[in-house]
Amino acid sequence: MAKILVVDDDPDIVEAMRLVLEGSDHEVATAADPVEADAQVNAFKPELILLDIMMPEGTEGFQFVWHLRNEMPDDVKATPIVVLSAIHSKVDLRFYPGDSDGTYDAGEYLPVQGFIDKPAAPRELLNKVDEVLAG
Amino acid sequence: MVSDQLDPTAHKFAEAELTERLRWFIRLRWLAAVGVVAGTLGAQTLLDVPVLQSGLLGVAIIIVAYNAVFYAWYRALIADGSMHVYEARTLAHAQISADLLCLGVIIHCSGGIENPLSSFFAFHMIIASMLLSRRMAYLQATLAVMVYGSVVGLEQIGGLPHSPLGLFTTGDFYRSPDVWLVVAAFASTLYLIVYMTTSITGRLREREAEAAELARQVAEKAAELQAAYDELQATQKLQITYMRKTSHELRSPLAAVASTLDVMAEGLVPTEEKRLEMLGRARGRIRDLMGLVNDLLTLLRSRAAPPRERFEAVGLEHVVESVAGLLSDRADQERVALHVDIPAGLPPVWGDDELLDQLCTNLLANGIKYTPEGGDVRISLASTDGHVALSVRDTGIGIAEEDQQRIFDEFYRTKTGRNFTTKGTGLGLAIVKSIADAHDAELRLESAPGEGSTFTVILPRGDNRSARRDRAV
Repeated sequence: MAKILVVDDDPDIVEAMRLVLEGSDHEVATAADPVEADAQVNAFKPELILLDIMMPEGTEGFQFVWHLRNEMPDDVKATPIVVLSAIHSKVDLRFYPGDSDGTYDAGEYLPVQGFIDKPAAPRELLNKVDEVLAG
Repeated sequence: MVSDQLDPTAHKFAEAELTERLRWFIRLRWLAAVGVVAGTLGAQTLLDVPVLQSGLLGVAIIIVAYNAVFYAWYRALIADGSMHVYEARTLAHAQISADLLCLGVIIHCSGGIENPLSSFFAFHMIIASMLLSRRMAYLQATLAVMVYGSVVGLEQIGGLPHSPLGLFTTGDFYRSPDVWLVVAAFASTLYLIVYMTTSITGRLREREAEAAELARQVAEKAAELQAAYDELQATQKLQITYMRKTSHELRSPLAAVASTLDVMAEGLVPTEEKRLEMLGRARGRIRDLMGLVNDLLTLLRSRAAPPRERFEAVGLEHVVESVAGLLSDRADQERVALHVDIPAGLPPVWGDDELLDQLCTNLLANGIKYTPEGGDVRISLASTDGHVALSVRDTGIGIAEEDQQRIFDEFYRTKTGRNFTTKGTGLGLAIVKSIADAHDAELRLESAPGEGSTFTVILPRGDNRSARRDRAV
């Protein structure tokens, strides 16, 4: 199974996801903010990152995506990311202003491999993880 | 009757018209000069009317000459961008006066009393009446009568040679005393023209001024409406932002609880011990959520139109003692020493005791929460001129300069605050500010990171308000 890094500032959410993922024999590391996430990416070398966008200082998750894809070592910079968000697929916070109804597809404007609404039901989360890992 | 003194706006219209017309006068005068030459030659050759040709052509030259002077004068006046109305009036007077004198000479050179073109004087009367003041128009009429009367009079007594036209009257009519009847009719015609024209023009100017005033009022009202609309829109935008923030704050704990319960329901929790721990945490989140909703309700209550007519004199010392009593356990738990400092003989404040209780509670709880073990929190009251100052001083973590404004915003928590304790809705100080505002109280904050904070609320005294209160009831 896979090595998965969960990045979220809410410890209860992190714990719940960890249990779900471990229940399917994934190996899980966690981080509460982008700094911890940076360290874990280098040390743990995850095969998938589940990343929350709404972290304490605002939308640091977006910056982390950019940081990972542009500034981190070559062996990790392509790690697939699934964005966990309480901002649904339909909000006025858009990745691209020209998008007519505010919806977007993964990777269309943000270089990530998937989105999943928070809170995600366990089955939903596992399906998404499998889908992205299968590539 | 229209008074000579038009109101200022009406004057403005007259002035604007005057400055615009100056140029028009000058243009017309070129045509008039051409007209004099053409008329002279035409009268002589086509009609065979005996006129003093040299005199008339001389006048035409004079007209061209002084019109050139007026043109230069006009150009000089508009050169600096703004023509003073006084200068414009002087120029108009000079033009009209010069025209009247020339017209007198023309009449003299072309038959004097016999010439029906004396009616041309009327044109200048109309122009003067419409563009100059009433008094000045009468003055110009008088000048015209004097010029015409002088020509007729001098020709009668032989002071000026009479050049007969012989078209409409017998050749020696100019010697008859009856000419004075013509002069009298001439004079009354001019004065009547001035009277009628100034009356009508004056009324029109007033109407214009009224219309302008009305337009100004409409524009003013429109601006007021626009401002009210903008304010409403801003309020609505603020409300939406506020709702979005609130929803987000409510959603995070709900999402955590939902995730936790999902995991438990799916049987994914490995041990009973772990299950109990997660259940405890979920209950904690629900309790926090409850606290958040309560804080939101308190905030709403303090924001809803403050019931000032229900305000009364409140003895703040009782409020402070009660709040300090209720929070002393919490202070003990946090190992923070709580001090209460109330001087004797303190005047009451003017306010709502429940809201003031909430304000004291939030300030004191805030002080206790952000003060590390072994620290001190002191709540004190002091009487100042017309006010009572409530202070909460702590030896806690303090607030950085850049956070001191935002600390009173809803849901705002400083980074140091969040690192110090995860507990907190970010609404406590927003409630404090809202209650202080409802009491017309001044809220001060002195703080520096690591050096503690002092919150001071300066409330208006309530012991001199009984009269107002009686009226309000």
